[in-house]
Amino acid sequence: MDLVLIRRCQAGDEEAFGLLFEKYKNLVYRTTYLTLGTHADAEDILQEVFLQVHRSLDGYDPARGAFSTWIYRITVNRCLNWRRSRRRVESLEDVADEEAGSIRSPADCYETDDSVRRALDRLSSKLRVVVILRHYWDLSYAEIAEIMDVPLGTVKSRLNLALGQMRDDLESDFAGPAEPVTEA
Amino acid sequence: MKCREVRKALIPYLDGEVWRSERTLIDAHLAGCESCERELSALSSSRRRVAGSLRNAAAQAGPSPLAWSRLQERLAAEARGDQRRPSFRSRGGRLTKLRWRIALGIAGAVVLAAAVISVVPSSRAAAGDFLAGLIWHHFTPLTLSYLPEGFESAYGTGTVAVGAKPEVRTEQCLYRDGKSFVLVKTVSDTGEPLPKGQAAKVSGLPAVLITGLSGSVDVTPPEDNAGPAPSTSTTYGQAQGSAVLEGSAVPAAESGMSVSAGTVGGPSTVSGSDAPSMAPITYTNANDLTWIVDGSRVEMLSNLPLDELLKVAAGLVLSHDD
Repeated sequence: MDLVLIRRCQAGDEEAFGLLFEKYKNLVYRTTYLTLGTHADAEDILQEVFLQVHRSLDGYDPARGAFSTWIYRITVNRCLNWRRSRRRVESLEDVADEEAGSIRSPADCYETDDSVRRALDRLSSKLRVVVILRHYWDLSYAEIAEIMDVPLGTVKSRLNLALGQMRDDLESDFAGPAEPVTEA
Repeated sequence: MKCREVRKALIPYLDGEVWRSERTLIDAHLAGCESCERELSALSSSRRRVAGSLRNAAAQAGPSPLAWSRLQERLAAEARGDQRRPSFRSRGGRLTKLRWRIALGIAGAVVLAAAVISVVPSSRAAAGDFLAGLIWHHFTPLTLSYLPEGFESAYGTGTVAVGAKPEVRTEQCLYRDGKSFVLVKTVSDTGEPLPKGQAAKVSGLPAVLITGLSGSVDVTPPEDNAGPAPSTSTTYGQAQGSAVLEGSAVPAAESGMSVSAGTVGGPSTVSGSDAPSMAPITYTNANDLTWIVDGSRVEMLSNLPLDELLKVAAGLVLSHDD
């Protein structure tokens, strides 16, 4: 299906590009929204990703990986660069504090579980992306490794680090630090 | 297996990313180690919370209905730009001699013009008008990045301009579905204070919220949507009716809604022979937000629930041409 659409796009069929957009817009939008935390950023990145896809589609080689992997990779790279380039990353928590008692920004929609939100926000961008790919999109470690262009072991260690860190954060809200390891 | 090794493998174990032989060893360890079993349970619970929270956060997240048309516009602009706008820099990253000469020529002309203006009084007014025109053309587009599902344009493209403008100008767009609408209008900021109402914030900027409005909005676009502000006899797209604040009544004339003085509380009126053929949208209990962006007063009127309106307002973003 994707391959047919891509061939049509490569032949200059704009309708086929519209169908690709329709199929993948939520993937790009939601990945971005969960990573960066605002609808405005998600809208911007959505545009940038599809502009890049449009520019680079001629060079896309299906033998080198699935189209979905390619579009995930572009999205993730855009998100990571976006956060880097903005220098001052607006913390979801800060936004919530700033807006408290006044108008709620789109970032405040991201508040189904305040503790989880805070824990996610404390993660570095790379750790957060891995968590989103694994726990929202349900991708395998191998797929995540391909998207992020890192070894499988790195995915494993990033998930260990991210989940461990989040577990500690979540528990500290209620109980205290994690139990120390005592060899059995 | 030792506890330390097991704990390192617990997340891959929960994710189903361990070999069968490794799983057997972990299972055996867990059967006899309460501490690791508790750790597994804690990690499993955190994992479920994280996944659930991400799902909830993303459930309502989706691109604006305008995303595709906006992308098409940018693709078209890019295609045009590729043909007629070569890179300003040469391959070596330095300006070519010819471009330096052109740049120096323009700079010289500007210096000469400035000298003439400074010594010839009559030329100052004309220069002022010219510069004002230049400033007006340097507006920034504000684009609606979020609208509720099913909203379509009654008029306008979802983009209104803001910027320092030398004269009072109005731009507006109207979006609607079967029962709700959002009217967005930008007017040059003339320095008047914001209307009275509840203090609010939109994207960190101070705003005024007025609730409980009723009236009607025409669905026909203004004659000149980017031109001078409509005269008081024209009510295209303007909210009418009394603006009643929750708690304290504020006359519409003070509400900053640009209500035509003669039409407050009355029916929609249209001047001349350009009367709209479509029925105006009548609303009750609508909300209005007013705030200043980049030298323009932005007004957003809608009968959407307040939280939805706030989402739309926060989604009104500055667009930049890259």
